[in-house]
Amino acid sequence: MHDDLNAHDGREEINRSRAPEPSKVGDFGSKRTDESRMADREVPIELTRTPDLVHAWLDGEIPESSLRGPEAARHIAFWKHMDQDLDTRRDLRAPVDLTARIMAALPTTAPRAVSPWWHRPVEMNPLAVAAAAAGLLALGTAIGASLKVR
Amino acid sequence: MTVAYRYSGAATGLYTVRETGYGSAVKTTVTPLPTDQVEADQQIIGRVLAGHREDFSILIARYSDALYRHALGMTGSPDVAEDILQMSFIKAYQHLAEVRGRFDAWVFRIVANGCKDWLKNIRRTHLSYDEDDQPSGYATPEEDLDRTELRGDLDRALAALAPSLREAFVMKHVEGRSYEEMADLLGTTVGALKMRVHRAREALQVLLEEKYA
Repeated sequence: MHDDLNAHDGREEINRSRAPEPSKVGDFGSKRTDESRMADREVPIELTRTPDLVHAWLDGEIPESSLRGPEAARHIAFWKHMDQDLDTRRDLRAPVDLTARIMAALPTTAPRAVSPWWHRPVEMNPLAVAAAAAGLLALGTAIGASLKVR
Repeated sequence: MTVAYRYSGAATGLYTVRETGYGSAVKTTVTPLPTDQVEADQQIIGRVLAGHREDFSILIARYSDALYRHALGMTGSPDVAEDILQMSFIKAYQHLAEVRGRFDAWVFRIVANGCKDWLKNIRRTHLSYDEDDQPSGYATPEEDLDRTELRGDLDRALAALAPSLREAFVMKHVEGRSYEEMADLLGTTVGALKMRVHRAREALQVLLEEKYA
C-alpha cells in the first residue's frame, strides 16, 4: 500500500531531461547511452537556466519587486501568462456524481479489520503439537550427530 | 507530523497565499486542516469498519476534489482521472483497516501510484488517447479562444515532462502544496522536490516561451 513512489529521487528524470554535455557529443559510447535514454523519455528538452531569484519568486519566497531587469521581466511575463490557465486548474472540482458512483461500486461487505499476525491466536490440535515436537527433536538430534562427527 | 491540509476548492478569489510567503505566480488552494478534522477521519474510519458503509462517502466527498486535480494533472484526461479515483477509493475501502496515521496522505499515495501505473502502461503500449479526452474538454463555454489554446499547449507541454517532474509541478502549481507537504506525501526530501519543480519550470518555459513570451 505504501509503495516507494520515488525510488530514483528524481535524479534519473533530471539527468534525462538535461542536454548532453558538449564534450561528449560525437563520442560513440556516449551516443549509445543517450540513445538508450531517449527510448523511454517523452521529449528531449534542452533546458535553459532560470535565475534562482525567479524560482524564489515563483515559490513565494520573495516579492515580485525583488526581480529587476529585462531578463526578469521576461520570466515574470511568461509565468503570469501561464498562471491564467493554472488558476483555472486550481478551481477544478471532481464531477458532482463521482461520490455516488464510487459508493455504488464499493463492495457490499464492510472492510475486514486485520490484526498483526503476532496478535492472532494460534490453534493447533494435540496431534500437530506432537508431530512438531517430534520433528524438532529429530532435527536437533541430526544437528548434534553432525557436530559430533566433525 | 500531524499537520493536514484541506483544499478550499472554492470559487476564484479564495486562494490563500502561504502565510510566510509573498504574492506570486504560485498560489495555493490548501489551508491547514484542524487537528480535529484528522481525528474526525479516524472516527469515520472506525464507523465504516463497524459496518456503517455509507459513512465512507464522507471521506470521498472530503478528498475527491484534491485527488481529482492531481489525477487530472498527471494523466491529462478527465475520464482517466475519474477511473483512477474510483479504483483508488475502492482499494482504500478494502484496505481501510490498514490505515495508520493520516487518511488523506494514505489515499493520496494510492491515487499517485494509480497515476504512475497508468502512465507506465501508456508508455509501454504507445497508446494514445483521443484529443477529445484531453483536459480541454473541461473548458467552460465562456472561456475565450486564447485561454483554450493556452490550456491545450500547457497540457501538451506537461505531457512531455518526465512523470516525476510533472508530478512535482502539478503538486506545487496546481494543488498549491508547500514543499514540506510534498516531501511528506512523497517520502522524499524538500531539496529533491525543489530540484524537480525547478527542472519542470525550465522545461515548460523552453517548450512554451516562443509562443507565450
